[in-house]
Amino acid sequence: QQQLTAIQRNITYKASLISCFPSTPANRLPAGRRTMAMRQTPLTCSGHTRPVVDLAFSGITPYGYFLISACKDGKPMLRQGDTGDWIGTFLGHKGAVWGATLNTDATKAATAAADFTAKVWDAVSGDEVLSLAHKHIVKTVSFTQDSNCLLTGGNDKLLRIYDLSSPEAAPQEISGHTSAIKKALWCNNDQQILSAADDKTIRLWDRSSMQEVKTLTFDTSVSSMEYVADGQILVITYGKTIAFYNALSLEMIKTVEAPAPINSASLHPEKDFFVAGGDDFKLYKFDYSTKEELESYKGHFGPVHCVRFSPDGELYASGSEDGTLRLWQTAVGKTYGLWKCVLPGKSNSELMTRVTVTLMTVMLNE
Amino acid sequence: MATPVPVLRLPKGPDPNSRGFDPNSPRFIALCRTSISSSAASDTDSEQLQKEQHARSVLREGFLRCLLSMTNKKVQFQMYENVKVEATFGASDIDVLNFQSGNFLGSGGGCWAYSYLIRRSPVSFSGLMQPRPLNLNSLKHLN
Repeated sequence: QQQLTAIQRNITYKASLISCFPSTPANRLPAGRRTMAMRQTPLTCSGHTRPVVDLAFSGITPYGYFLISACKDGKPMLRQGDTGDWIGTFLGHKGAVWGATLNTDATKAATAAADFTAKVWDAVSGDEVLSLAHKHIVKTVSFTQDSNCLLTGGNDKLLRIYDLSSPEAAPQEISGHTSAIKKALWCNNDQQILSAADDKTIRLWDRSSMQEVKTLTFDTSVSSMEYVADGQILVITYGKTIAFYNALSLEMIKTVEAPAPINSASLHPEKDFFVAGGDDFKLYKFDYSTKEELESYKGHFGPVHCVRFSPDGELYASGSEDGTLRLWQTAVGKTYGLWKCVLPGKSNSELMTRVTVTLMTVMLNE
Repeated sequence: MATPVPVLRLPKGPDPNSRGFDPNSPRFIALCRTSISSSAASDTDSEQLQKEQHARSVLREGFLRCLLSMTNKKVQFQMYENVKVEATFGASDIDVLNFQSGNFLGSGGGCWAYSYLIRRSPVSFSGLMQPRPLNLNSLKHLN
């Protein structure tokens, strides 16, 4: 411990790189008492040169899980989900990429861009597989669970369904929205579609009849929408509100008010927490049952545009106007991915030395 | 107070010289359905393998001939904020990520006489055929 304190005094930190060594391990806290964990060390993923506007995780695959980010620099990137390590960049779009998604097993990616195309990619090789021409900026893309169909939506106010096994065939089109569509998702086992648009509505459509089933109208534009299949919950954000709806009936379950305008929110797979981020650059974590604000983190240097939990719920990723993605621990103090919990004791001295050496190497290289 | 956990290292960033998708990664080797792998090729696939190899070499040759024919031709780069720059094309790398060009002429009339490596900045440029994903059917049109 003494050696550690000396090292701490001698090293200066860059806020985004390093945090202080823990002095009290998390498991020594009084049981059952919730605390405000005001500090954590996010993993910062750099590489994009412009704001990150959308991100999506894949499901859990034999090779782990993956993360795709959509960026105004036109170059969506694929990363390893638990470490943030860059895997590749999908090259081909000629404009800002507004939406990006992966299929469940991360073998395919789809992107929506300002160059009036949606593209489908091989997410293993990085090759462009399909380019689907639209009549205006495309904002959102979504695969069905079997990856055979792609749903797109954008500024031409139409929802389109492409059959990826016959891509030359004209897509099915669903009209109804009176303004640009910003988000469209499959739901209810791909039998229905949810779409959110600048006309301040969220609409539920039946896929086979292509008809509108229900509409939710808001006073202000919805900033984001997330569908949680297990439990059929729809997470919507508008203004400072995070709202939870039943995705089948579109009945409201509850709403929570955040301290600042929120651009995106995500519900934990176990439904005990949700996270939100918005215009004050911070990430907030709330208890889903009690609606209590549990934690908040500064870190981004610009508004947070998107936030999503990983499929195992161990971390959440945020994308920001500052051009970075950050990965945050759900349970601060846990060992996971690149986060290594350090407990005092002899068995950890080797780890302490290794981590210290890493820190010093980083500082020297700076 | 729950304590922050140290990070072992930073996430790896993008490689500036490549678009990534490492062909030596376990996932790529397991999932990429190219038959160009001597250990994976079986007897029944050998004809298909030959066809695919021939197709790849034809396409590679076509790409290189295209690049060669572009050398010393005038091209125009469209950059961000509507900046258009004319230049003489030199060469490109395989990912069409980096270019070598010279004799720049901006719309304001300025002229740079030195060779300049443009990296990732053009929004689009005219004069270069983009290499396309491998498609065996496209072979029918090539001599």
